[in-house]
Amino acid sequence: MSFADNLVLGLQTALSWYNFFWCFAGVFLGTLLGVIPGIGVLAAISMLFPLTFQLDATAALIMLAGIWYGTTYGGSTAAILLNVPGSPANAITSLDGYPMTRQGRGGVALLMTTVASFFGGSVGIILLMAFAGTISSYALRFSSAEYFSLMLLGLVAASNISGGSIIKGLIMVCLGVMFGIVGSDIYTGTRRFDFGILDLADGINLIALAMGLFGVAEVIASVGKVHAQNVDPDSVKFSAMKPTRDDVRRSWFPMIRGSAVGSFFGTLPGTGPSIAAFMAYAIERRSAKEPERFGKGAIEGIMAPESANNAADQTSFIPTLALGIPGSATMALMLGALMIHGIAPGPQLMTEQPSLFWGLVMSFWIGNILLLILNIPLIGLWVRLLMVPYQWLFPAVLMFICIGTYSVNNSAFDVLLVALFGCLGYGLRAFGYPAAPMLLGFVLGPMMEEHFRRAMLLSRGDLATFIDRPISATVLAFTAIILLWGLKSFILPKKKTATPPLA
Amino acid sequence: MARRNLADIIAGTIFVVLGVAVAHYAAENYPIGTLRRMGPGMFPMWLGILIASLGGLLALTAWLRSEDEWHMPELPWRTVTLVVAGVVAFSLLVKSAGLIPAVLAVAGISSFADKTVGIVNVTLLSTILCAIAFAIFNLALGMGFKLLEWPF
Repeated sequence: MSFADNLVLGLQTALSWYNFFWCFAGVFLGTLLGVIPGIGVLAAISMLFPLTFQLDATAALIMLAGIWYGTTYGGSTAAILLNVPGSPANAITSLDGYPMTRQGRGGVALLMTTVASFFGGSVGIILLMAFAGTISSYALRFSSAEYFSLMLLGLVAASNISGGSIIKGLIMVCLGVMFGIVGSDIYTGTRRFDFGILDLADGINLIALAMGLFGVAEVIASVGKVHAQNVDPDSVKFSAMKPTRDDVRRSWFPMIRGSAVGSFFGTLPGTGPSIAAFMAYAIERRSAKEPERFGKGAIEGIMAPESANNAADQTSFIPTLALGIPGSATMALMLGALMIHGIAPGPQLMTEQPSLFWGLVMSFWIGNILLLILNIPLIGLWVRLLMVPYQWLFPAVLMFICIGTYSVNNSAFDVLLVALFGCLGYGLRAFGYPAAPMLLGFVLGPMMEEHFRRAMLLSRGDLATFIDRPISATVLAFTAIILLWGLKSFILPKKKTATPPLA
Repeated sequence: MARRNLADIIAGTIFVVLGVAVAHYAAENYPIGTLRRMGPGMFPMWLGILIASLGGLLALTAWLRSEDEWHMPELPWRTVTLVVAGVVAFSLLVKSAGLIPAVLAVAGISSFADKTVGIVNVTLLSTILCAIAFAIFNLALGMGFKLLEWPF
């Protein structure tokens, strides 16, 4: 099929009433949960994950993706108005966004970040449309050795960049892989690590793991720390949003540079919108003629990160959809949704499920346009949400977590697992162990084992197969560099630098 | 005063024990096989060894290095206990007693994690959440959960 045929197919899929409705539901709920501090994107996606079981695969993915980029739009609202990022990807936006609010320019900041988000998102989607096909047709020649190496690269990169030491990240990845091993072995059917518990025969439920690690742990971390605040409703009136000519003139290049930076970091394994926003801000500040304006309400300081994080949201789908290898925990959840619907991720996805792939891609356009509408005229609604006390919100969040998990298999045992992983997740967070690599390891672990065993079968037990194949060898070389670089900063004493928290 | 990061030493030791346990359990209970034909025990065994080595490295570096500004993080025990107790109560009640008691339990217990709430507000909130749960999951999504079941 030609490119144009695919676009038409995608538009038809995305614009069907059913898919359109779930796209709207996704971006709406994403914005809602993004605005509320104390519920990050991973918590938001895991909370709404069970809902997508009732849908068909395309609608499920469209909705989950909508939640993903919706939270990034919504997260900037709290960052700008309250100096509390709604989600980690927006943390950097508060540096210049909040000073703008204090100067009475909060409305302008909200409008301009929405424009920046839309611009960045559009650049990301265009790149996704342009490159996913090329990459996936190239990847069709990959064998198990290449897949194993690529997944290893993803896991090592994720454990290195998630802030803190690489050893802690690697341990988290390994624990995730360990939880992934529980259940039936794909080759022999042996039940591993089930300790005779029947509920574990099919493995640990992805939903229970994600809800515990991110939902419950996040609630525990936020209780008593997140407070409702009063926001001046006049600051978000439509008339207060009009940017000056100077604002518009200053915004163009930061937006373009931010989108480029974001698109680049979105495709890399282990990085994501948070790193992208951080880098975009740093570049903008370094290249500015008057760097002293930053931190005091410089519009460049909100345009660059907000276009970067939305561009990264979209381009992170490139490795996930074209190769079937997720680069971040959120993308691992997307992949989990695909597999739960019985669709094998990988380079064949685009040719075997063209309506799913192109429907999803075209739904990004629709979702971004819907977000533009949701975030400009309806901003007053979201601002009012910030005034709801957290002590009312978190019991509701917990209730949705419980019922959501229970609804998947009607299993009370899964809810018990949520409590267990909630304790674990909070404990890890408190002691500086990143939980996101664990989820990535959980999803990638079983796939890695499968590919490793297949590669060993094909090479008759010769480990050299991983370095004899040029692509695999290159990928492993990169992995080694990242590993050594991480170990170097782990062993040598380091300077204290501020790294943004990652989702 | 410079002090050692005790948490990392303890955690590293736990990971060593865990890794050895995993490797041992896998090697004892599942066939290892050969590299060419790997059995179900090979991958978990090496994973256990890897976890143990990483844990050892973590504990060792924490032992050799002292940090100037290290403090034991303060854990909010009240919040942890009440939130987790709420979720556990839900899981115990939902099958035997039905959705309404389960929702009342999770909302009622976890609400007190915030020190400022009063009993009236909690009762009100829990009741409202029951109505929301019924409206969303039973009416809108048609999941047909049992609302109330007499366990005796």
